[in-house]
Amino acid sequence: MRYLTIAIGCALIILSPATARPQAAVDTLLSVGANATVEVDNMVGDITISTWDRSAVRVQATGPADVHFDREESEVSVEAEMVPGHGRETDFTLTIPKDADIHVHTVEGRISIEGTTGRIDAHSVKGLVRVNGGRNAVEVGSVEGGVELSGARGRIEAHSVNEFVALTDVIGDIEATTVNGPVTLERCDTRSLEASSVNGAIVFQGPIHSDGWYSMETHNGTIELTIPQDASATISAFTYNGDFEADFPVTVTEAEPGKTTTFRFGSGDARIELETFNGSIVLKRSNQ
Amino acid sequence: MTGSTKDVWLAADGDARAFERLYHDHVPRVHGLARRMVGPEEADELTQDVFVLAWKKLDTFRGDAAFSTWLHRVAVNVMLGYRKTKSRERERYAATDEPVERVQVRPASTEIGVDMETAIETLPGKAREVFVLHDIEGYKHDEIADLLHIAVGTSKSQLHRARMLLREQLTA
Amino acid sequence: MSEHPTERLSAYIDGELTADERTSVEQHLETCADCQGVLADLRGIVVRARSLEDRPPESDLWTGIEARLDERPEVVPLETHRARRRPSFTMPQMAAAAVALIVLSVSATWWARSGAERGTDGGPPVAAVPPDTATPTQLASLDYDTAVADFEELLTMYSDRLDPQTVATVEANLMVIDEAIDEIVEALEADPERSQLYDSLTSARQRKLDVMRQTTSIIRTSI
Repeated sequence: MRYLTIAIGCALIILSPATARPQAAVDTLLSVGANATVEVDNMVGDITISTWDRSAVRVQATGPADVHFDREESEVSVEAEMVPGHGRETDFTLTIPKDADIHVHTVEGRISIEGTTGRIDAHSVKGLVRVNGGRNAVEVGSVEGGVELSGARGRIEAHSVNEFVALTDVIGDIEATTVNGPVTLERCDTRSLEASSVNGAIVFQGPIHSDGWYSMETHNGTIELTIPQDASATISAFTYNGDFEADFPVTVTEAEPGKTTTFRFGSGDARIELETFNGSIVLKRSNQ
Repeated sequence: MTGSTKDVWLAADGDARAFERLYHDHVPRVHGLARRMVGPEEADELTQDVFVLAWKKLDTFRGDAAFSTWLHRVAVNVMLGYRKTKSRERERYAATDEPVERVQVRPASTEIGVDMETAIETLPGKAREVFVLHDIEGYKHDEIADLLHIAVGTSKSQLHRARMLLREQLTA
Repeated sequence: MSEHPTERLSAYIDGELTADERTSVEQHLETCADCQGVLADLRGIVVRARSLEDRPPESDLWTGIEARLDERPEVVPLETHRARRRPSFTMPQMAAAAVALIVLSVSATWWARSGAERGTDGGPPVAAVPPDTATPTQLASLDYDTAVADFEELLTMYSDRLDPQTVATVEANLMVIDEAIDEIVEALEADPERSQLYDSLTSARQRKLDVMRQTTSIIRTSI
């Protein structure tokens, strides 16, 4: 009797799928308080997260792993534990409060997060990471997979190693890097940008703020920068083996052979540094 | 400079005898940690790994913490790394000789009770790590959260889970 | 009777409850023999855990360790050790011509980037070293070499845990950066007047550090 009481009182839930577990399914609802934090640790399999207006976390899992839940007040933790001899891939689908903070990690699998407004930390070793949303601090990354981030605001870090990094409609300080792939930033509103690749293009399109600092560097790739009509910026551009191209008339302020070329727009307030070793630097004019 | 501190410097400069003295001073704690984290079968090998790695990394020991603290951190990282490897190997190669279900070891007789060390070995992964680090090694939850990359709340709840599981075994 | 606060008993023992929570648990305990029993059991476990004794291994492990001590990195330990404590070191890995040039020029860029613009956490820990003992460039280079060596060691440590394909990918990408560095160094040797190339070299080296740092971070948190 004593044990029964304890079992009921204990907040810890361990779900062990039955012995015949080829595709055991888990579907659990856990209520959480305000400012929830949701943590998911998977080894092999995808993690898909969306939001709802309830103060609860719904966890659905399909696959052979044992799924362990921990919940303490506003923190929910979900962990997949592999069961020997029962296959590999366990996929998670979570529905969480919109403003929850998220920590998601998987080794082999995709991560997809849609519409959240909390902090995000989402990393996969070998899978695409696709995130829409996130506020304050958003860190997304993959070693072998690409990274897609849209609609995030705050301090943004997006890193890949062997794939592309694509940011769209992002507002805030941005650090976006990869080694082997392009870094594209479309409609990104930032006052601090650090974008770099080694084998890949860098593309930036967004407002240029007069108090902003923008750095784009690659080794083997084109740098394409779209300059708004009203921009006030000084561009320091350097390419060793590439060319300068512009689809509008550009006034070169300083040009020394073999050195950095400087272009000035408006009163030249914002600082923009462009550097590519083997690629070209392309300046475009936007209509905005 | 204490003898031990001197040995650390000598060892960092390549003096194997000094390192052997350090080994004898510190091996009980490292081996104890290994036994509890990975079990007695692998404790010897992991202990050796810890000291070999410590030897290789000694020149990164900057003396801003006690050597024992530094060594212990090296040891914890080796153990945690090993446990991850093992779990990943199990998953990758889907060993057929492993039991399908983890069988809860229960004491055959309550007269003797189950040895605490043995009971710890039956704890599930994270609960075991947290319990060993917190209740035996004296780490704080925020340090454990950092080491294991889990939330502080997770560390706390895993600790409670571990204690309750041990209670079942030790007091049944 | 109110719900059993079992899940709070560990936090209660560890003194981690708020005053209100503690009071609530204590009020419950006064009237609940079951929870008193659980609490006593848990306290007993905590005490037993603390009193576990460490003992030396039953078999001799030192012989096996000693046999493996020559696994130490190929760099002469004494020199490595001293190099990290004294500024009078040699600078490995860099082409001699490039080194001479870098000393003249890289430091300003590196200081500016690591300090003013990227923040101390974005660059190598240059600022932590007393500036009167060596030039910033030398120390930056030293930290760079140290960081590279540490990372390579770490990758080795993780290599048995990582998918070989991932390790190969990371190594291939580091090689991509190394090739970029080599290309810049060659350009510098051919064309030392191109001062911007010093910055490029610094950037490429910095990028390698960043990639190593980020990769480590992702691998550590994911695995």
